[in-house]
Amino acid sequence: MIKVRDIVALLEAEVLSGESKLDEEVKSVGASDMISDILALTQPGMMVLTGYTYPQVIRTALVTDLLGLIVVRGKNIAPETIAYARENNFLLLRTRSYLYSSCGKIYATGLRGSDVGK
Amino acid sequence: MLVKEVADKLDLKILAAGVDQEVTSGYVSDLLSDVIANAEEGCLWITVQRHLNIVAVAQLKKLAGIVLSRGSEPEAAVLARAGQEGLFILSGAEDSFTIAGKLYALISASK
Amino acid sequence: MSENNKLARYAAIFEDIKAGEIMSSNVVEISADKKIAHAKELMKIKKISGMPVVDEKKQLIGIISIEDIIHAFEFNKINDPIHRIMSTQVVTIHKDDSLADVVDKFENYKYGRFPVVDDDKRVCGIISKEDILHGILEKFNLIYIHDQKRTSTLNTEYSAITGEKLKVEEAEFHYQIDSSDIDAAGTGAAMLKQFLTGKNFHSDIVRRVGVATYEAETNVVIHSRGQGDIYFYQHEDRFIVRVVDNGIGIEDLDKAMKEGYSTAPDYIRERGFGAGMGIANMKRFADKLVIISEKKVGTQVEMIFYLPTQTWPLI
Repeated sequence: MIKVRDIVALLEAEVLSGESKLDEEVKSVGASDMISDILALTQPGMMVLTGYTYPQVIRTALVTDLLGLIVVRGKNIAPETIAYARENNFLLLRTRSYLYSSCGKIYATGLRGSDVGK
Repeated sequence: MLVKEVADKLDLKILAAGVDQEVTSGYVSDLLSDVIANAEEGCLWITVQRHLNIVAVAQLKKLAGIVLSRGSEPEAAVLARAGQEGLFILSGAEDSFTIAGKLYALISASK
Repeated sequence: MSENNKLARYAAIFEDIKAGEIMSSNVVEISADKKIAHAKELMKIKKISGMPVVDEKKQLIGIISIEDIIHAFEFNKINDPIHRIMSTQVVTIHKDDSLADVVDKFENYKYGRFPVVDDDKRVCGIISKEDILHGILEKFNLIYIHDQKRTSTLNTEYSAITGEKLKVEEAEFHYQIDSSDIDAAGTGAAMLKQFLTGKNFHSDIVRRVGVATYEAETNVVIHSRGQGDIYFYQHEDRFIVRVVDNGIGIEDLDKAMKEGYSTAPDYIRERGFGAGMGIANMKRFADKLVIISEKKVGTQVEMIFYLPTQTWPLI
């Protein structure tokens, strides 16, 4: 079983919001910058890697009940985005890793993607 | 590893065949501006975007090719343009995360 | 315009659908000379609240309902033959009647179901309001009305799917979409989701409503260039979400329906929109979806989400 804190360690990520969820199980992972794609990913326990940092992304993730988001490449995240995540105790991580290598490292742990929308 | 070998090993369909070259790494993004700013030469770009501009972006950044995830296929005009420009466009049935994960493992193993 | 007139125009869209195509054909009928007690048992077993009554030639001569049976109980007539208490004023539908005729019957008579008969007055089926709904939707999981008739259903108070009334002022949730602000896209859907979560509905249906509404709302913001609204209704076993706008309409819906097709400009795509998955997502997350659009008039998206089914005990 892979927990959120294992992903945090693997990607040397910062936990920007949702600290209470570090021990939850991550069941699948996706990678996308598109709102419609993130909306389509609705499997329980799913985390999504993204380069998208507008507040919209939190709203999208909340609507689709994602476990959490991982913002890649150490991107600047607007304070409103972080504030919105905190208000909703939504799990928001940030890693300096690129999206591609983040996928690679997580895939190597045995976690798999979602087959939704194939 | 050459683009054709990658296509073969990751079970990617070749929609447009280009000038074959070494794949140095991968880049995953659906935002063109991000690719323009950050992708490195020789990368294989994995995306769900499939409109005409992807060809120009890949040319500009001298990418090894484009992999469209989730089995998406662009309109004929996009493939025709890629063909003219000598750019590979591949298509994989899986999602971006999975294709990137497999490519990462493949390139790591070959180094 | 009178209500019936409007309805008739609405139903005209589906004029090629005949009553025989949407009726339930496994109708339970009973002979007029059987005892009322017999009818009661049969209705209990079949979980129905009314039955057509036929004579020896199998022709329809009446109808018996739960109310009739309760009445018979009160007066201790439960062992009388059915023909003594059945209603003989039966309103029927002919199997070749159009959907417009069927809708008219439901509007003009407040019965929950009508027997359907053939040329020989033999009962061949029964139609309830649910059958209209299911019948149409079995035929088209997704309907797009693309001709002159569509104006008749845009901006009406009638559901394009079920024909039931959906009054704006009776919506349980309403959100006015701010289509000038792309950063706000999805706010209405998020609020609707919160509203439903607060009412303790199952998280699965709440999420489906949220996602599909998000896509419909985003389309209004990105494409309509007009004003839009989200309305939510709960009707018995289903949620109905309507997203309407008065914008430019969808230019080519056949193309818009194609996954990956998008007319979004580059700057919109760079904001993560315009993947061409909007309608695909609505279709996937709603149980039923209808999009009606007319150039320069607007677009109306109507979605139905069925609540988990419940069965009601009968007397």
